[in-house]
Amino acid sequence: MSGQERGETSSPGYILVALDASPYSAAALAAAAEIAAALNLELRGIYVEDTDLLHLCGLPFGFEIGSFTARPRRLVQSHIEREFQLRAAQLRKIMAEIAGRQRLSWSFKVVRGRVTSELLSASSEAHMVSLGRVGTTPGKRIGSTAQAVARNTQRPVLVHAQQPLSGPFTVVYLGDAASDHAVQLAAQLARPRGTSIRILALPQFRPQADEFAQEATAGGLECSVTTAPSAEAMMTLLAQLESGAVILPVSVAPWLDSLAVTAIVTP
Amino acid sequence: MSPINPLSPEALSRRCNPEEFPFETTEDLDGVVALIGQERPVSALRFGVKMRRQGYNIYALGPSGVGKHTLVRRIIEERAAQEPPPSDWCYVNNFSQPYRPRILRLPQGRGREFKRDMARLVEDMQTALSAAFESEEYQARRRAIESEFQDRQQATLMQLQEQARQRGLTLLRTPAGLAFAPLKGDEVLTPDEFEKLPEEEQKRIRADVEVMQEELQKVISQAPRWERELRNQVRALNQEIASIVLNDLISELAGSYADMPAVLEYLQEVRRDVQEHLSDFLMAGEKQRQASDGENPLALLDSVSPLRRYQVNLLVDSADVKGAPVVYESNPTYTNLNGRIEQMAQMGALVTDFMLIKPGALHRANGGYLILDALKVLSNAYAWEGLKRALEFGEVRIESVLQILSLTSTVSLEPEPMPLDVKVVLLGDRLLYYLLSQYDPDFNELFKVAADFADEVERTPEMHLAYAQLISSIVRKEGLRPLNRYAVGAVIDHAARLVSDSERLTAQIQAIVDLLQEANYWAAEANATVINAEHVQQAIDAQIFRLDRVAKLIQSEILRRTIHIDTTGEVIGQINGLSVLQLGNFTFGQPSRITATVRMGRGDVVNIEREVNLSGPIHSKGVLILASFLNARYASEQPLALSASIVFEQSYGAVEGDSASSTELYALLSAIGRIPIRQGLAVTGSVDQYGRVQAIGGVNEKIEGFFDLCKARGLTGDQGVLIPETNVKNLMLRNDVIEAVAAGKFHIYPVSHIDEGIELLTGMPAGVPNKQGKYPKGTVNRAVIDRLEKMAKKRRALESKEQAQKEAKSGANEETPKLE
Repeated sequence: MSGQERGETSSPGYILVALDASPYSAAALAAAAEIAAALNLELRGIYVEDTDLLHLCGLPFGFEIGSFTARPRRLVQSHIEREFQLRAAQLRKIMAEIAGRQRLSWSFKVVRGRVTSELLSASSEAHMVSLGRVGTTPGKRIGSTAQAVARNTQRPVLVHAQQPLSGPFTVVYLGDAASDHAVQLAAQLARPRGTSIRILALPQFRPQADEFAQEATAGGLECSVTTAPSAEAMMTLLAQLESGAVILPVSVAPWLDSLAVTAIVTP
Repeated sequence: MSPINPLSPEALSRRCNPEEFPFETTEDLDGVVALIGQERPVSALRFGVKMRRQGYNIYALGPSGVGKHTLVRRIIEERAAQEPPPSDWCYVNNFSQPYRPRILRLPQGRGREFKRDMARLVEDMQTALSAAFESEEYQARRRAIESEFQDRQQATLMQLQEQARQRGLTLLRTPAGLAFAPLKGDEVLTPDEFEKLPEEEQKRIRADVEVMQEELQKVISQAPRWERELRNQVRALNQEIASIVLNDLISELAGSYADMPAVLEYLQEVRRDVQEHLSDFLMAGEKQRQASDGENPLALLDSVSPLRRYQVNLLVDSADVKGAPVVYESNPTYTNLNGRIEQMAQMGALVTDFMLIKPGALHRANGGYLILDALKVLSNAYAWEGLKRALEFGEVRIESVLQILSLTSTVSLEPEPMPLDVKVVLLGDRLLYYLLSQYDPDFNELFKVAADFADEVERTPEMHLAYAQLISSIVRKEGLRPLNRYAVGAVIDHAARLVSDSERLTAQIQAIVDLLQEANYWAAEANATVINAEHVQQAIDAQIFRLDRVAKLIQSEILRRTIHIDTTGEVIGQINGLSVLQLGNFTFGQPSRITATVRMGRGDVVNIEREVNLSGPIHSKGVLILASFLNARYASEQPLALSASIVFEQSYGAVEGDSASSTELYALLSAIGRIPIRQGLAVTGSVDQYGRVQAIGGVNEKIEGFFDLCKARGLTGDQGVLIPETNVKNLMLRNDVIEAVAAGKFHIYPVSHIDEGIELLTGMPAGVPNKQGKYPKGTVNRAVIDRLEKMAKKRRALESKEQAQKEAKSGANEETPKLE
């Protein structure tokens, strides 16, 4: 496990990838690996064994309802723990494969606790956090974990749909520091891909957006600015996107729920 | 009885007079093929081709080489040119029963069009359906349906989660499903914390969880129904979009085939099938894209595209046929006649479909004529049965032989049979016709018209000219040198010789074609531009020389006296008979020594050949007839007291035919009357019970056979041949024989009665009985009678003596004293 050892001893430049049982997390891992390779970062996987589930096993009404059969089954702690172990081993294998393909330094760790708090605490040092769209909460287009992490993190959060991360990058510009981070990150990601940037700005922030666009164009990037009359109009526009990726400041993180494409939230 | 005079040289052969021909060479003739005396088959064929009723198929019978094929083809082609063109026939997929492909009949030329139209339709459907399913409208409507489904699912779960939240519970995803857990703050209550709660609270939580679990169960149970609804809605949308595309495309095509209900019905089936298999079109489009993008170059290599079922197998394309089709199948095997279903290898297994159905000659000839060689049809396994079945039922059913014999039950196709309207003409020899007629009960039902070709034609001056026309046409067709009038005369003379008849000519055109080609060769060898009579004779001589090795070998053995044949002197009871031998196509005459011996006996004539089973039935019959003649003439008042034996000396094979019966009779008379026979003469001819000499075959070869022997030994001037008078018309002798006769060195005697022949052979008059029925002295008949009477007397004396001895013996026995 030389990758792991290197991971533990190297500089803090790494992407934290939250891994869980959902199919989205493998896609998130692949996208994160791509970014890590582009930005020369390490990859750190984290799998949280959810204590809420373990607690439920001890309760007298700890039953799960089968997602296909709709039949109730008793939750048994030993079964859940074995499931955690199996899942962790599987995720480690996937991670080794994906990181190995990109020749990245990587590490993988398993922690037990509440998912959101464990992720937030693990992400404090990370360069970026990568999450799958759907977490463990059923019934939502974007998992509550992803929502919570995106809203509370101090780092950019990549919320991944099932497509690979690709341009063009649409950036929401609201004139705050997070928006500045957003446009900078867009430039960083667009350049190696040779893809374009489109800045969506409210009318009052158009000049700053134009300024940034000029800088980007001077730097050899294709960059355009579109003005949206209101935040709602902006959100509607974003919801219609079917390809590319969206980068948005943390203040509008709740919009994640209406997006169909991969998104990055910047603090 | 007046002496028989030998035939004059003119009577020995009837030659054409080339001076009578109104042309110098065959180039002066128009070369239009003349019919050579085949009025009967021509009339039969004209009747047969016009008679469009079931069973009026034609059998053209006659020996090979009489021009059956040429004549049949000419008459049929004349008729076919005036008849309407045939239909096109296609096999298409049967969508409801794919193992039973449908057959479609289209007017001439429309088959090719239909095949092209269907290929275009498939291409257009692919493009139009792909475009339709990629359109904004379709995608938006589909998204709407799918998102409605997702929203409904999501909303239900959200609602459930909200209900749970109100009860202080949360919904968690577990490894295999979902579960509710009570919250404390935003964390799940631990078991210890739960235990510490008041019992009432615990009960409430438990009840709440149970209620929520039931709710969840209901929601999850609904999911499959929702998914089904989703699928149905998507399917309905697909059908709606597809029908718009298909209505447009198929209606346009149906307009071009409005007059063909079967095609319209098929197009409707295509529409239904396409709607049921939309994914095939979308996948085919995807494969094409993959192949053109280089993403998966092997995508199109899949040998059997699902879209293949909309193709058209144009079985019979008659677009270029003028008039009714005339088909000659030179290799009439079962499958070449009835068609076959081919198979192709796919992933190591053999598979087939309607596109692999191949037509047979019956398909190609439908609406017209099919010409076949009867022997070839009969010698190919099951071909005859297959042909009969097709004609009997008026349809062509494509089945493999194994299927017919029920030897296989492998899944295969049973294509719809093609309705058949064809006139079959079989070409074959007579024997085959009579055998089929006798032994195959179906034959007479199916081949009601016999076109019987003559082997020979009457030889008249008009026929000479017609023959010259025929020769001219052969010359042109075969690209030969022209023949001058003398050569034409020589060919016609040979045509008479081929049938051994001075009054007839052969109808076996092939023999004439061969002769002309060979004469052309000899003319070329001689650097001649025109074929003359010498070239024709050279060709005839060369033909004989190539084949007469055995004839010459036998003659040389006679000359070496290994085979004993006398050609001079006189011998009692010995005579020269004449036989004909046929080896392949070559016939030659050979003298045979026939001897007779007599002894006292009870009137039986022993045919030694018959005793050893070497006598054919007709030969045996001849011997019995001559014995009967002998009895009738010489033993009407007293029994014959002799026994005679007759034999073909040095004959080691079977003897057949009655042409030697007069000869045997002469030998017998000579032996009885002890009158020597001139060995310089040879005899042929059969005899009846009254002593009349009757016609035989091969007279020319027989005469020439004896002539060649005499000539080799040196002609004495006394030599000759006795032939039946009725055979004189058959004489077409070689020039050297005629020249010898003209020079008085060889003689041909026409004989009509035994008495005439015996006079020539013995030089003694035969004798005519007086009023008392007595023959005069010094005649053959008197000598025979005298000998017979002498033998009868001796026999009677012997019998009296024997009787006396017997009686004496019997009397002595009676005088023996009785022992008492």
